[in-house]
Amino acid sequence: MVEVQHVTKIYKLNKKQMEEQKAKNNMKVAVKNVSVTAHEGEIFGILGPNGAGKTTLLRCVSTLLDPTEGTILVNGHDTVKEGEAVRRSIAFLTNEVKMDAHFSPKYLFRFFGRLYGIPDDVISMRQKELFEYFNITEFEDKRVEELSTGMKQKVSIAVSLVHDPSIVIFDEPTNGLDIITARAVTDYLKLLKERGKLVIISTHIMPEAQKLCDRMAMIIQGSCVFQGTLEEALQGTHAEDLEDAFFELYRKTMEVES
Amino acid sequence: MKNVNIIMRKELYRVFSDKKLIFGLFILPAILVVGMFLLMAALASSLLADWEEHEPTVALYQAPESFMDYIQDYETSTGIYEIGSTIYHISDVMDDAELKVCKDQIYNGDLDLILSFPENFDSQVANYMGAESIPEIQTFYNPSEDYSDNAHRDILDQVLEKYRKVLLEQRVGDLESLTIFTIDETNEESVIQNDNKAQGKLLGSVVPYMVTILLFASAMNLGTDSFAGEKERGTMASLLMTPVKRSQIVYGKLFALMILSGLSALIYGGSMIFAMPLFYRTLGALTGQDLQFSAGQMVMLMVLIVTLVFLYVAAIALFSTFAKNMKEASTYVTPAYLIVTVVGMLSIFKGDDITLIQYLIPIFGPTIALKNIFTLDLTVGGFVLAMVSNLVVGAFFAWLTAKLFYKEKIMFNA
Ligand SMILES: Nc1ncnc2c1ncn2[C@@H]1O[C@H](COP(=O)(O)OP(=O)(O)O)[C@@H](O)[C@H]1O
Ligand SMILES: [Mg+2]
Repeated sequence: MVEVQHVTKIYKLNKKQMEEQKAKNNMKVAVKNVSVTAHEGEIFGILGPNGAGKTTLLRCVSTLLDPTEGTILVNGHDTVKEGEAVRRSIAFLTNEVKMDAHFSPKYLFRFFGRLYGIPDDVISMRQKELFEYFNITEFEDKRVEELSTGMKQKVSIAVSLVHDPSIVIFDEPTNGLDIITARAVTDYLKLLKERGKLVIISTHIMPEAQKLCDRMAMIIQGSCVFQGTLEEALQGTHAEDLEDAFFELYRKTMEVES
Repeated sequence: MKNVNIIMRKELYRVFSDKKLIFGLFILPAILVVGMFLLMAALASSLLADWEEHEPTVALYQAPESFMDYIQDYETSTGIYEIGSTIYHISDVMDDAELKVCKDQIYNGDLDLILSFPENFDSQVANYMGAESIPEIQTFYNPSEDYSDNAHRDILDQVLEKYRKVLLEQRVGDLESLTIFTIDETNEESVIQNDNKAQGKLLGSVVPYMVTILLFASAMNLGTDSFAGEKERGTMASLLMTPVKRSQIVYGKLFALMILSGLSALIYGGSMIFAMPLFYRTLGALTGQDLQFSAGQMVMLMVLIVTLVFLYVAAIALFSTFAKNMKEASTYVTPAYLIVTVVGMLSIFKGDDITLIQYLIPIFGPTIALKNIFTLDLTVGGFVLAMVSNLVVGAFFAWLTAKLFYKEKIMFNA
């Protein structure tokens, strides 16, 4: 279970960043007082346009960043005070976290497995299962740098799941993938859910979220403007599909602002 | 400790599974050093051969009969004389005008030497009238031309000096009566020195300089890549996502770096010690005696090198951690490299007068200590202080690096 409680994340900008973002002061509020709860056995979507703060929120959940305010509990562990325990039970997949392409999938799998303290025979079992599912076995001894983009992504997923985490956090899971690989990834996320894991994804592609997510939170400019199931989202906005619902919520938020 | 070991082995494997890195780190240095020395030796010996082959040209002005008689013995054919093992071409200068032309030739390097005798040299010598009338032979040569310089030295030593003795003998009869004393005429054991120390002095002046610079240089590429490079490529984040303590990640990387740069430096140093006698032997300057290291010296050398590697690696890690990418990292590390270079150069000139406490000065103390191992001047106290200096400063840098690994601004620019 992931409990995000009144989390605010403020970036301090340096001069260059201030110019780039055309910011007036050196504080950027990326996440504003967000509270969401996600449970085992569901795919939870963090939805919002680019720059909404999705990645920032997921990085906080994954212990890479500390919230400026509020707390996050992962299976009851505080992400700031008990980072190691939290990292033991999660996998965080994002294009900012990469595997060293110099090594082979097999080497990486073993290396990370050992860092999690998993016995070698268990690592081998996990490797067989994951590599077969993602069709990596054939390439397991090749260097990752020699593999195709899609295959690299699959390796990255397989290696990140070496410790069989109960919570899988995936930032923009299909971003940049071809249609076949994207399908393999989303299918696997469903499989994880069926096995009782909690899967949290972020995306700005509403049709994808509509197909995949059991529950969702919509983030606009750092604030959570909706949290609930697909039905609740459609009912509340009298919309046909999630995309319409999103634009309705977006319009309302902008109205309130101005 | 287990995690430190896993990370260290991965870093080592990364290098040892990359042929290009192996070549650049371990093979190229050896080739470069040995190649450099061989080239220097080849150049030096071809220079020597060139000198030996050259047949110097000498011009005589107003040469007296007694001198012509004297060098007659050396004449092989007209104008060609063999003195020592060198062939000289000796010609006469007719008048002042020609003398002037000859001087220009000396200036241009076309003529090697002029010997100019005063008029009536023989009669002045024969009719010795006291201090006022001692005749003077003038020589003209060009010290910036090797041929001219060599000819000048050799003619003075081998011809004029002996010629003077011949004339002297004619005047006083028994030359020995003029000899008050000789120095070391029969004493073959005049030189009392520790050959190791003498060679050590030579090695000691360059080796510490080379060692500290090479240690730093070989740690630099690896270190910036292992810390800033991994950050730039996003692979550091995958390590930070594991439940491993961040300090363990830092220490694992540091140990691997120490092993790799230590090994690389050893190969540099080893090939240098291997190539140096080659160089000297060609020059004939040294007898090819090997430098004998005592066990104690060896231990001190190893300990100092290992702790110095630790210090350098930790410093490079610290600077690289501040950097966002490789480019920034090399900008940050370069000033440190300069400091190491300058201190290394200082150590060539300083060291004999260092006080015990100065061995503690970071980088400087240990570099001097390295030097003094070779000259047998390093005391146990100095050694211990230099080692402590390396360890304390290195540990401080390592600790600071581990602290930085917990800062999100530094690790994620956030
Ligand atoms: N490291 C950072 N330093 C400063 N500002 C940042 C940093 N990362 C993201 N931001 C800013 O925070 C906001 C939210 O970014 P992000 O969480 O990446 O959004 P999303 O993932 O929803 O596209 C954006 O305006 C972005 O420019
Ligand atoms: Mg994002």
